[in-house]
Amino acid sequence: MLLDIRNLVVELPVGRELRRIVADVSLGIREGESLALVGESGSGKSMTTKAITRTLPDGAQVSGEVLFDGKLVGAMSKRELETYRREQIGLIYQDPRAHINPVRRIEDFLLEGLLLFDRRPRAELRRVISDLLAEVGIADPDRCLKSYPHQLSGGMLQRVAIAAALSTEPRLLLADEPTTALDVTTQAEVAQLLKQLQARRGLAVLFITHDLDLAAQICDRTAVMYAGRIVEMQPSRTLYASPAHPYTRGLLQSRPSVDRRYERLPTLPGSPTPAYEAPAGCPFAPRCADRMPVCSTYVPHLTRHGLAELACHLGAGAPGGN
Amino acid sequence: MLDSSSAAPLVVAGLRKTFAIGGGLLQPRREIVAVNGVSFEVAAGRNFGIIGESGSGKTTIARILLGLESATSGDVMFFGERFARSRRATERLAHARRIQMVFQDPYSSLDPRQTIGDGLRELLRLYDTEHVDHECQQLLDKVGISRALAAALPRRLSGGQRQRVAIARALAAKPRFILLDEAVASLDVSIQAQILNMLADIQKDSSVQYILISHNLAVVRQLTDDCIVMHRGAIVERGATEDVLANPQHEYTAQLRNSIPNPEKPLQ
Repeated sequence: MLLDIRNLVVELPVGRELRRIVADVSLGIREGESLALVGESGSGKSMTTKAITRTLPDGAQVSGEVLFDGKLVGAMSKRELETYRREQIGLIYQDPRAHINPVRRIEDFLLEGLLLFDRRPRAELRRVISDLLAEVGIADPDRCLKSYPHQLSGGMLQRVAIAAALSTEPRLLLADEPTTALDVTTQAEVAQLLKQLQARRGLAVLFITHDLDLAAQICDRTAVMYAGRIVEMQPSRTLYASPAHPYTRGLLQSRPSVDRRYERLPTLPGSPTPAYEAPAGCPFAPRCADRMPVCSTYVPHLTRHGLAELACHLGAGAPGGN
Repeated sequence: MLDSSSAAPLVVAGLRKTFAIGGGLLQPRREIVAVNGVSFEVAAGRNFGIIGESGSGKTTIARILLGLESATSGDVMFFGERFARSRRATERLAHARRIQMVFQDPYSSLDPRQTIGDGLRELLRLYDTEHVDHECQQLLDKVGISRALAAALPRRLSGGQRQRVAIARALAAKPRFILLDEAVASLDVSIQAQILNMLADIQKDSSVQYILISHNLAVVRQLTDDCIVMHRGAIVERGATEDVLANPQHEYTAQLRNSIPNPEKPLQ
């Protein structure tokens, strides 16, 4: 395993109390593999990624283990941590404009990180980033390097951000909703680009999204989070064709479709619950049409049923399950 | 003068909006054409979709319809009457009864220091509503906001609840149109479906018509009967939503359609 998360629990201080955001997450990503982490707001998907980079807010309480290439991230020294963040992980965010200095040219933005530790001459590094820009699909890299961020479209800027993330040749790409803020047509192009880069460079990718369709299109496997837990994990194709968890089914059914107009859209009742507000037992039980008495008493744990891993008391017998 | 009983509820004819930029010491003055000769009609009893990406001009059209912006040229007619932007309070109030707006981000459109109920009652008084308390309760029931939440400040509400409140506030004016500008775009999937159903329910017992501005074709399909597709300030395609989306005639519409992630065709 390149990335191995075992029983991760994250609690954040809010006033005097500690709020549980991630309740129990275990997942693994192999070298070159892509995993989508899908969830609604408050599901804990973003805090899971912050635990991977050890960039949780001050005062956060963490238990469980995050291992990168067999090394415990929580036990890394300051120096090891810096090297790990810089050389092993590339980060891509939702809004590139918020992460690229608006008053500096793209060239300076892309070079500043590299110049800190890469001893090659500036001219050579410039060639490296120019090639990278070409690789992420920017037609005129030299012109782009001379531009300021406001001169570039959102899609161009996200390509620049991807180039920046790749410039240290990381092994794992953490992409947090990288296409959400983009226009539809641009979103499709950036999704295609991420998929190509992953295949060409043999990158491992953790793709954070709320969009199950996009997840299925880009990633080998998909994990669905609810109230700080992974409730289902499957190869994307089978998850999409035969979702086993009632929450996953509900999510898939409640999406409107471009091909038909529903008299009424099927809905999940209620709203998503963060882990700290989750009831005893299965956190999804109050919204679940298939709940049984056991569901409000015991938390179901993620267990394997064929290709799927599922945290549901209905188990493999879940309606529509494998 | 057109006969107001037979005219379409909303007619937009030859709408054009240009913005001047630059004109400082160093920059020559340039003109940007945001909306370039746009004409459409919203027929009675039909919901209307305006499909477009950023820069398409769809938000400029919304701002002109709402009276937040004046058109450079062209006409907007509501129920056969030419609409001209006015600063006069009576005119603005009359326009509030024609069209209301629900934004993508309801967080910024609510007063953080006023409870949901108080804010809604204040609006109802502004519209000279009789039985303000009764009406307030009816509106909150209609959008599924409990009495406990009505006594709360906006920050206690989730995104979906705030959007419900924004819809109640739009309904307070008893408008003929509600313009939804990406109003369900930032909601969680499970909440989005609830709100879309609620919008359909509201329409069952009132004659309000929706104008939906969105880049999400599935949402446009679910909520609207007719639509236009905009690209760079102009309409590139129009028709019944079902036909436009099932069988796009313009290259750009087809491109939008093909950009929807399709899990059955994984990317290579």
